Amino acid sequence: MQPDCQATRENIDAYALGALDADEARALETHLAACDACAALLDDAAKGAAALALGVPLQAASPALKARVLASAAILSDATRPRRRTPWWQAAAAVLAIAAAGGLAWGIATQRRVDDLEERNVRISAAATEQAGEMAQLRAALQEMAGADARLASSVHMQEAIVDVVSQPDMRRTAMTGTDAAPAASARYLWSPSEQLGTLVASELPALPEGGVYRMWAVYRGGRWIATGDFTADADGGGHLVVRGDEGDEPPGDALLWFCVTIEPAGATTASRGEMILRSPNF
Amino acid sequence: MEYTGLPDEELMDRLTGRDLAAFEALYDRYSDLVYSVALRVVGDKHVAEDIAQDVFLRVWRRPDQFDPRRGKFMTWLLSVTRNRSIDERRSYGRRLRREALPSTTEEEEAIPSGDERDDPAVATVLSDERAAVRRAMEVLPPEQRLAISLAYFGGLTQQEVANKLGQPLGTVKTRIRLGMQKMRGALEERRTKDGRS
Repeated sequence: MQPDCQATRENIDAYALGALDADEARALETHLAACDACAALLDDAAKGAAALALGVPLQAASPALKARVLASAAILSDATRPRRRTPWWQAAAAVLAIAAAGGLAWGIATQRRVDDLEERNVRISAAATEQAGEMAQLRAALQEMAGADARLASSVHMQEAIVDVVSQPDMRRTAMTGTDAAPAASARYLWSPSEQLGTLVASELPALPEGGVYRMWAVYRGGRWIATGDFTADADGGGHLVVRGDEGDEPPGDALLWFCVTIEPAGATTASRGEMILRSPNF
Repeated sequence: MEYTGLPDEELMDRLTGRDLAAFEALYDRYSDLVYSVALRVVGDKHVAEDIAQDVFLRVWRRPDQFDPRRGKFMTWLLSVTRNRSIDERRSYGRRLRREALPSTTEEEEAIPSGDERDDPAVATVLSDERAAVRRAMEVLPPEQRLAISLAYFGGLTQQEVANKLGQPLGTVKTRIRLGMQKMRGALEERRTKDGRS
């Protein structure tokens, strides 16, 4: 028996339960990678952990959930087909269905439109329940719904990004609230660390100075501010931004503290920071 | 094509070909279980539905993430569900405690025992296997069940469990290790008996 085998065997169940701290887990994984005898024990431990889940009292998932999941799956299937331009109505329809599906009442463009969308999505879900196998009819219904709101067609790019983000298992979401400089402003930011993809939807944004832009920042421990992108608003103060990161964007080892949005003059470098209008709570 | 009798692994194979009917069959088989596990962890029906949806859409989008050489589909699915639920619980821990779990006690967090009933409306999927698991849990002393539950459903490390219970870390480690060994032993014994009968 290797020196670490005893400790590994004592900890293997805790590891399968997710109850080791990060250092203990790393040490155990290092040992498992080198010791076939201990690695063989992990399978049993994992089965034991899964058995705990199997023993929970069963509750029935709602029929509406099934309708939402199947509708989302069918639409995502289309959305993820390689490099085909998605018709605007289909992308908009996907967002409508997903918004209903996840209870994601953060809205598409403004909070005011959410109630109206939800009402229409009830009809979409009902259609999906009855016709889960006939997605052509569902899409026709969705097209009709989306067509009623031309503004949803304004950014296919944004809508496709939202579909991508909300379908990620590691999706995170945070709300931003207006600062004293813009008390009515609010925003939702959804992002997936694994996909390095995020979507910001803001409403009630204050007017921009001539040529100005809104700039979103991610603030990391150590006082590092990373500009994630610039955007503008429509006539009603609604704005959105798709954030696509690269491996090098994130300061290695630095914890993300919070997000914010500032107003910057045209052509401002990322070294400057203008007035802050939105910010998230600290993480 | 009739899918209800197909094994999980064959249905997963069909998902790579974007077979929505196979996906629906998997959903029908496991949705109540996935939802119930999520609900057990987060304690909020709406959040649990969001989690169940995320889990199934992950299965749909990335069926290749399941590797049949590394174990059964159900084991993998429950592991994904538990981990996703714990992530949600940690992300929204403060909100959940404030809004949805205001009076959770240690006993309430204990692993469900045999006297907790399923929703009668739920179909009896996996009923034999689930009954065996719940009988195996009944053999555990309460303090072992509690330590295991806080770790698995509460997402706590052994040190955090020790802090929460006011017990030495070594005691908690022993409870978790012995509890899991006993449960596996009881399950194995039952499988052996079933195999003989």
